[in-house]
Amino acid sequence: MNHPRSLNRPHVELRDVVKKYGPKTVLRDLTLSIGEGEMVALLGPSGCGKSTSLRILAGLESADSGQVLIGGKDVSATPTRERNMGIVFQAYSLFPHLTARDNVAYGLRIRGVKTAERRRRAGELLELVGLSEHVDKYPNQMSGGQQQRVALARSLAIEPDVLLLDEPLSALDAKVRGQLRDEIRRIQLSRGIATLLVTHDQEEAIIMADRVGVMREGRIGQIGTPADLYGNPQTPFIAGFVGIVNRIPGIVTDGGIRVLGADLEIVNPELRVDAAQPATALIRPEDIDLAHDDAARFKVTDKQLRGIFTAVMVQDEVLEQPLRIDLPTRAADRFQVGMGVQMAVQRRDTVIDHPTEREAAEAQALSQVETYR
Amino acid sequence: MTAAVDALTPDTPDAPDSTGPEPAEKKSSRFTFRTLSSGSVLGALPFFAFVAAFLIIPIIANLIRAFQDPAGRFSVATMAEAVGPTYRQAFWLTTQLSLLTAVIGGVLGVILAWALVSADGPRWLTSLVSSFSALASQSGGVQLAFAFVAMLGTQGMVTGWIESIAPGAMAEFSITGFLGVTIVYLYFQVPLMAILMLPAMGGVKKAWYEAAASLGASKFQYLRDVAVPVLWPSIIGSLLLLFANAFAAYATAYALAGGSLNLVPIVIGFLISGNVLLNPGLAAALVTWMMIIILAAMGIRFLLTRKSDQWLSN
Amino acid sequence: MIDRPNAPTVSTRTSRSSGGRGGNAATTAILVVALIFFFLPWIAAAVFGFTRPGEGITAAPLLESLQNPKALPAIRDTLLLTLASTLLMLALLVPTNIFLNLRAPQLAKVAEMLSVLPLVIPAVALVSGVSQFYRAVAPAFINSLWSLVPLYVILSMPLCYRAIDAGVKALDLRTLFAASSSLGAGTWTTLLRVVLPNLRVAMLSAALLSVAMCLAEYAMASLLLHYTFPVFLVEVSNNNPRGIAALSFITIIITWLLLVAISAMSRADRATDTATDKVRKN
Repeated sequence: MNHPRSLNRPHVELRDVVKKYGPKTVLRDLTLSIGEGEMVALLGPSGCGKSTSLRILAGLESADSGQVLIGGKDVSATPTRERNMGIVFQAYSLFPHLTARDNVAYGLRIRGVKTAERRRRAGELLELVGLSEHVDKYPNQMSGGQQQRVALARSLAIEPDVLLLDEPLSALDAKVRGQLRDEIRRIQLSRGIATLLVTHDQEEAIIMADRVGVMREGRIGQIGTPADLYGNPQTPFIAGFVGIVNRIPGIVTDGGIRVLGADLEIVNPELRVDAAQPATALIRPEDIDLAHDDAARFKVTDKQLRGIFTAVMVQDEVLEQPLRIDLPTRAADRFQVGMGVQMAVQRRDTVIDHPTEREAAEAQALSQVETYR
Repeated sequence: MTAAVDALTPDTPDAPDSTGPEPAEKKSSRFTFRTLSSGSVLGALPFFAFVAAFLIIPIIANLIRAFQDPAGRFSVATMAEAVGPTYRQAFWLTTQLSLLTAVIGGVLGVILAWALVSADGPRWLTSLVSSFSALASQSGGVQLAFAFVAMLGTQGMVTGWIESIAPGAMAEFSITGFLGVTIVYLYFQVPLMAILMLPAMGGVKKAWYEAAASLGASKFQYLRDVAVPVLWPSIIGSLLLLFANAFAAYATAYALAGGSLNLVPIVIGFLISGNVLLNPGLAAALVTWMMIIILAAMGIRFLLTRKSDQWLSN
Repeated sequence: MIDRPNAPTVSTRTSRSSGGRGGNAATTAILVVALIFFFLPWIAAAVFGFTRPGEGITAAPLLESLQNPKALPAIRDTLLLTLASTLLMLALLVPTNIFLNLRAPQLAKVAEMLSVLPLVIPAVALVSGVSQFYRAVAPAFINSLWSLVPLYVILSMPLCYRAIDAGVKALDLRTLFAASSSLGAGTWTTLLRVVLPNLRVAMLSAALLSVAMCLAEYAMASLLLHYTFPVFLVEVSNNNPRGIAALSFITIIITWLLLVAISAMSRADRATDTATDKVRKN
């Protein structure tokens, strides 16, 4: 199929996709769109359906209902080989009997490009991913990171409309992961290819993607920019998945929830907790500020240096778990272990969750206390 | 006794898509006599002594005899006679039988292996067929021959069925002839091929097909460019093993055809047991030629699969 | 209270190729056809062996064949040979393999190469060599039925060695021995009480292979002029083909029953393993 690049408008869409495996529904009315040049990440635990979404987009699986559109055209019935998509798999997708160069050139060979020309282009792409010294090596002579670079080069060789990355870094060492992450993003941005990234690693999704969709049990719970997702999570699951939260028990009031002496609006009132009942607020470590107060209930029990910020662990007799407050290290230097501290929540709203039995008891106990100020 | 297989009962193969960390380093195991302590040699002594006494020494004795003339002096005359005009026909017939059963067994065996690897069917069925394949590949022997006589002999069960549908169709067929023996050999050749190909076909990653498809390849192009090139060394290697297996088989052929089929192992048997002329020197020479052929086949197999085994592991 | 979600490890895809291309039906069909062909000759053997034209189902051919004065001694001799060979195989291979894997891994490689040698040396070749050598050196040995025992062990070695080796390699021998000796057990105690029970399935699989081979071995027995059960079968096959078919059927049934028993045992073993794992995790 002919895709002159100047006419590409790879607006990619999945509309109301439903997928069942036997009795199990893996995708429920999944709707997703990827703009031209945009990288969208699907983030979620294993089994949430993210890989299935990618495979349906690729044509490797077919949806039970719903549509797949590329450039406005319905490609649901088009087989994979005609969809002009680049795919990078998790591992072991290189053809073992071909060199790196021949692997990368394979797509061009299928398209009938002449030998000299395709070898040259393959060489260029391998140089782009930093492997110009390895062009004649075989996959089993290369490390995992190198293999994934070749896989990326191979997928780019056909100048795809869409790039699909199925957990491309999951099988790699942490250090290699970091390097490759930046490179993939750099190449994707410079080429302007619409890209779908599937991963269970929230750090990867947040760092690489323009928008992140958090998936759970076949649905996208929330989709937005990393800042949106991190700063304004809509559900307890998302709040906990895309970063760290403190679970702090409090009592629901008429307008919101009273926790740590502050009245906060509830972001997810659909959870339906009655007034005067306990609930748990999910507050990020950096959204709490500390002030030295020897008369306060909470005491500093530990400080963990993390680089430019320090995690200050704070404990109260009533609460089973300590709370974690993240401060810039210079600010954290003012606090010592054993010191009493006042806490001030720096937000106006919070996500709440149903409390565990223990948390409910703690909420009641804390509400007896007069004041935190 | 038919030659043995590479693996026992194979596990029901899982989905070929494997995910895991970097390929492990190859362990370097260089064998030097320095690393042996006297203790370790002692512990292994019973085994090595046993193998020496009942395998190595007889083979050497056989080799020596093959290169002697009837008077006991060194000579290549006996070896020459063994491939002379009298016996050439036997070698040719045995080669034909072995090639035929290897190729047919190979094709059917690959199909069976594909079905086992696909893991698409019910799990209990795959496991059952897998176990029985392992057993069937070892079943060459007299009992198998008699079972086939019961099935396809003149009074056989299946012969009767065929006769009732198409009378006269089985008139020319004899289970004790070349074609009949071929069919019986296939009973163990097909599962043997399947078992030999299981590891290789299980090593074909699903991601290869999907990657090829994303690059624009049709199913045929994938087979041509990826699957076949990766698998053909294993296929040829396994065919060679099947060939060697058929070449060496004795019991089944003898139980079916007695002396009427002019196969090399049968001829050797006659020479050893003194049915014709007690001529152990000639028997030794024939044995040596047979072992050379088998060794050559296994040697080629080893060279072929060394490279492709790497591709299919991980 | 800190709340952190579980970060799952590398995802594995259990592939149900739902892009099925009709694979499912074709696969099942092939497997079913294979199963039918595996069973068919033996069903024919049973049908042929336990019927007589005009008499319907009868055990008469079987009984007549057993009434042959040579039958029972042949059966007895084969059973004795099978027992002796299997025991010798286990007694030789199991300790050797454990020892080699534990103390001399490089020698283990040599042993493995040797064990595969009988593949290249078919039965007739071995008979020829054995005949050559032992008739000159120790004719009494070769004339005795018991000379077949070590030879049967050699013939079964390629498969049996592998089966046992696989079982031993699956155990972490060093750790087992270290743990056992730290609790005060000596080498022999460890072997008998710790290692061997864990090798149960491997040993039984090897034994099954040995038994199946011995019950059907013809070449060596006949060419060395011994009268075993398979030799008897061939000799009588012309006179009483039905009886021989019946006996062939019985032989394979024994092998199948052994296979079923071992499979059941290995499944039970695996169930115990998962159960202990569950207990350990809790």
